[in-house]
Amino acid sequence: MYRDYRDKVEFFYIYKTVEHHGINGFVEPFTLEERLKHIAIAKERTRTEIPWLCDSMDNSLKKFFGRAPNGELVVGPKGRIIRKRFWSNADTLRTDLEDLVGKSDQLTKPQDVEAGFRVQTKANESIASGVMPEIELPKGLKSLQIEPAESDVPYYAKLRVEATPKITRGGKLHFMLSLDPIYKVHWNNLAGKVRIELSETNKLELSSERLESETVEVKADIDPRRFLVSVKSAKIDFDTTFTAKVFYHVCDDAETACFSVEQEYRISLKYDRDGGTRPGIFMVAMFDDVWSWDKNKDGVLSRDELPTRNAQLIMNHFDYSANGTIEKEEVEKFQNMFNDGKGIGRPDGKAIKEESPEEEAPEKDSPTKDNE
Amino acid sequence: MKNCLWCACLALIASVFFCQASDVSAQDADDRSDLQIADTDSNGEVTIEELKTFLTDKADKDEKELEDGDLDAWVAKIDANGNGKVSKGELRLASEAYEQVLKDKDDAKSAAAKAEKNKPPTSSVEMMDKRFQARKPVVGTKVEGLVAIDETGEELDFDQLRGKHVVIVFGCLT
Repeated sequence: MYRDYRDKVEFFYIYKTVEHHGINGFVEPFTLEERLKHIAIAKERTRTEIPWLCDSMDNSLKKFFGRAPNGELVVGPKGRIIRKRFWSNADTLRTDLEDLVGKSDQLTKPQDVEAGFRVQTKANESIASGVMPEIELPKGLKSLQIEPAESDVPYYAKLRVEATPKITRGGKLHFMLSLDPIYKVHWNNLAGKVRIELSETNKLELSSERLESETVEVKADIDPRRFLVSVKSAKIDFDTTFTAKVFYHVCDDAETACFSVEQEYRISLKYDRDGGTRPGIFMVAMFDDVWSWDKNKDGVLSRDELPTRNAQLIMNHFDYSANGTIEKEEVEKFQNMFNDGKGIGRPDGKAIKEESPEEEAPEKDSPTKDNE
Repeated sequence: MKNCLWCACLALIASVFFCQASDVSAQDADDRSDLQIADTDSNGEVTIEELKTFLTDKADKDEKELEDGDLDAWVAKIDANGNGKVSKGELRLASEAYEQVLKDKDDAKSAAAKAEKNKPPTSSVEMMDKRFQARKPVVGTKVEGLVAIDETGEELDFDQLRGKHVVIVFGCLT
């Protein structure tokens, strides 16, 4: 489309917040420089010719244009929105552009371009993954707003904090410390465990204020460190904040340097509308047991074999080659994005089923960044 | 007393006459001015092409988005005798036709939007899209004061992109 219309139309991808925390290890950037690094990776992996723009760190573009994960908008020459859709659709966009600026002389098809999403391969095969025991997570976890403090060193590991619904009346907090793949580092287990110390938590009545990761038998790995804490107080307000001090040890994948890091976060009990979800939350429910749809058992999923209601959504996610069918390799490619190549679901193969974030209505008593 | 009443009547008649005369003269001046503006080659005649240019400029001035068929609809309303040329009288219909076409267009859009709104979604994407359409910013909203950062870290003001159609697609690595 870009090739066919670039003389008459400006095209931009806008890089926004991370939608599904942890796919291929990617986590939400804390700085603009980190978000620009994501763009560089996205450009390299999608091999697209379309220029990228980066949303500001306060996510002003995403908020203005309506927070669609893969939204597509056409802005007219006078600066007004003239088309918008929740999910980018090449066929509909082509029809739009034919209406607006006329038919293009050329018709580039997906197979004519070298674009396509390439899945990341692990940088260092000697570094372990899948060694941390899974923890049973409560349902309905949503990310909270966090503010990382100034730090002299990069946030090699990034904290995500989630809470169960109606956390002000008590519940669970989930702390997840993930290595950021842009820094190409791994945990240095020989130097010690990952530790989180929580303070100013009087109002919350937490089950624990000192969290320490379990012992790992390997000297290096990349698994996220996860902790669950109970909030016993049932009388807290959303303005409550507390501090988390994080201690960890990492080495670069090339084994040229190791660092012991201490970093601090301010955590609010307000839910973060831009926090996205973790993989496996709604995708697993949708894509569990995909081959049961293959009615004629030819090893290829055609559109008419897919569940009618989610056919488009499934095609959008799986059909990398945009040829209208889903091949075995495409399913594997998709599933390998999760859990560092181990596929979606839990190690025992049982899927974690939670509701889709897009389907969820915001809770009445959960203020977010927008209504502060 | 009788003379004064007579004078008042005369004054009233005179004022009505002069008011009408000045209205007519203002209308003529407007028509002449429109005719002069539309008649770009100043040959005293307005052709359909000149009329289209005139209407495009008018829509541009009023910040109205033109779509395929708008101009033809206007021209059909204005060039009532269909002779391919626009008389002074026909040009006088331009504003009226302009408003009517815009109204028809808005009515058609509202009817289509209403029909679309009432249509039950057949897929989850359609359902999410339906909610998205109803959410702000709705179609027609002006994009202004927005700044993005380009790949080199430089700011790009969306206002700089005026004058061309712009397609934006949101995405991320996950």
